[in-house]
Amino acid sequence: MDSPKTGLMVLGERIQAALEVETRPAEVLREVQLRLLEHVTDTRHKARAPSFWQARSAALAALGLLALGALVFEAWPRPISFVTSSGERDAGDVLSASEHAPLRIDFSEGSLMVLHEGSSARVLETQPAGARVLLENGVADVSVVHQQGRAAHWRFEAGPFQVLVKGTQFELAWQPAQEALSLTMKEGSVELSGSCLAKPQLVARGSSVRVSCAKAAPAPAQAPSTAHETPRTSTTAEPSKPERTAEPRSFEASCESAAKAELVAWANRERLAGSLARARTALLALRRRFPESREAGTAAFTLGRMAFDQRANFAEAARWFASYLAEQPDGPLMGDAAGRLLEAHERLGDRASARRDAESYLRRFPDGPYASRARRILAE
Amino acid sequence: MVTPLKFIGDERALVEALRSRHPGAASTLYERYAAGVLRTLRSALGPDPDLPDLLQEVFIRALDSIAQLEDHERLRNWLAGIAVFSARALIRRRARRRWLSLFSPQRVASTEQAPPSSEARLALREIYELLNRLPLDERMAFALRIIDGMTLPDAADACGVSLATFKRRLVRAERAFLEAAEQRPLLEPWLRGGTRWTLRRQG
Repeated sequence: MDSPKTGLMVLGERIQAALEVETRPAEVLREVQLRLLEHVTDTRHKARAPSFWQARSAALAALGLLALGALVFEAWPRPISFVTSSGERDAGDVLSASEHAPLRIDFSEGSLMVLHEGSSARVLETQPAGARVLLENGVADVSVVHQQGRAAHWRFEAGPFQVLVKGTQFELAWQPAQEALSLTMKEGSVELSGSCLAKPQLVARGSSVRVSCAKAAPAPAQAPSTAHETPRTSTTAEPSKPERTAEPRSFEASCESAAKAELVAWANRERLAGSLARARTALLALRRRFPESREAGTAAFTLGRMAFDQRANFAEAARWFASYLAEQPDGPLMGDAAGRLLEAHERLGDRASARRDAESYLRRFPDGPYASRARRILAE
Repeated sequence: MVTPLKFIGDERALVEALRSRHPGAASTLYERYAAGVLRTLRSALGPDPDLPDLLQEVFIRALDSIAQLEDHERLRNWLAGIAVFSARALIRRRARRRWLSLFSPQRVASTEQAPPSSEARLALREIYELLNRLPLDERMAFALRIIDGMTLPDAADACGVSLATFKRRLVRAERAFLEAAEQRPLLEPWLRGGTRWTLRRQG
């Protein structure tokens, strides 16, 4: 029988929690479900073809040594790269079009994004078959290339909205002040989801959608206090009428009686599904009800990340990251929190705080992922 | 969008429905077990861009070979076994590619991934680099038991070995992982939760 839980098992749980965040399971599960159902539908309508494994084995056998030789020179799948019309940039950098000229971003697999004048975005990460892009403000014309034999993994985020792309052309606009998103499809289709949409919507060619969410409750003026947080409770959306009856309130009530582990799971589930308001509700309840727990610290970090990535609210993000660092100075997310804190202060134009953060970061992480940014801040 | 038909029934009925190609059975199988299979795959491979393709492979293979499942009560473990098999195959393929790339030095640089953008990712990358150095059997034992959190009997079943064999692999994996991880400063905060294990081991 199993022995009592060991420390190594605790480490395993922490690895699993980090994997839960990094692998976006809700997205993967939904995407594969669609692919699998299409596969099942296809095979049912065809004459009994060789099974996937039979076909694969036959193909491998036929290729034989030819494939072996080709493998030596084949370029292995690796994340795509991108270059802008104003030079090379790294993932995470702010890409800003000037007030007088658009900015063109070319991706290595052929996809293209053009930021209109005055717009800004960031490529948050790249993968072998796509990227995750945050439109912070303004308008982007996007043309995504569908690579043969490889499913595209393109995701655009704007405030509380996510646009899941397969292979298509569209114009995406985001106005943070109004929390308004507009999407005009030119080719193909995308799946639009967001915290104020009852469920993901398929937006097809020729369609134009404008959606807006009501503003969230204002961020705390002081450092986030678990006792005074008011979770966001009401949202509106158009053109769809979200099924908002008593259900959101019951979710809040559930958060008041849920166990700690349940709150963590709910927050992850809702965040990964794009329901940021509910994720925030669960995280705030977690911090209020279990203020001394390790999970409460992690919740502060997650709240900061949501404020930073989804709402571009850098002041609130900075306060959450600072809270995490104060509560868990040696926590596993400490380096990331410190890096994001300096970036948030930089984005706010708070040079003094950014310099202080940069010095602190470099003392602990001279080779960390934010080290080059920290050195640039100190050199300015 | 494809709208799945619903199938309602217990595991025995589900297996029978899969064998008779009931139109809603595949969807139900996926809805009930995909999250667990994905957890097993990501435990074995880490944050890997091929996870969606591999998850799809597991279910296509399961649908193709459902006739071979003799005991419907083993459905969950049977799927876990396919996931383990698929993950092992992928790891082996990559190992072969790495070996072949030795003959093509100019390609080596191109296999490098983009730098991780977060501390957690950095730690995950280090953890899976360490697991990459373990023999494959030991790596899978560590992934299933420690990261996935499977019980010992379930993990042994998924690997297709006896409980005693699985335990031996796990002990070797734990020892090798911990010794290597202690040399990595970045993992120090992650290992701090494991002091009880370390103390017990030293004691």
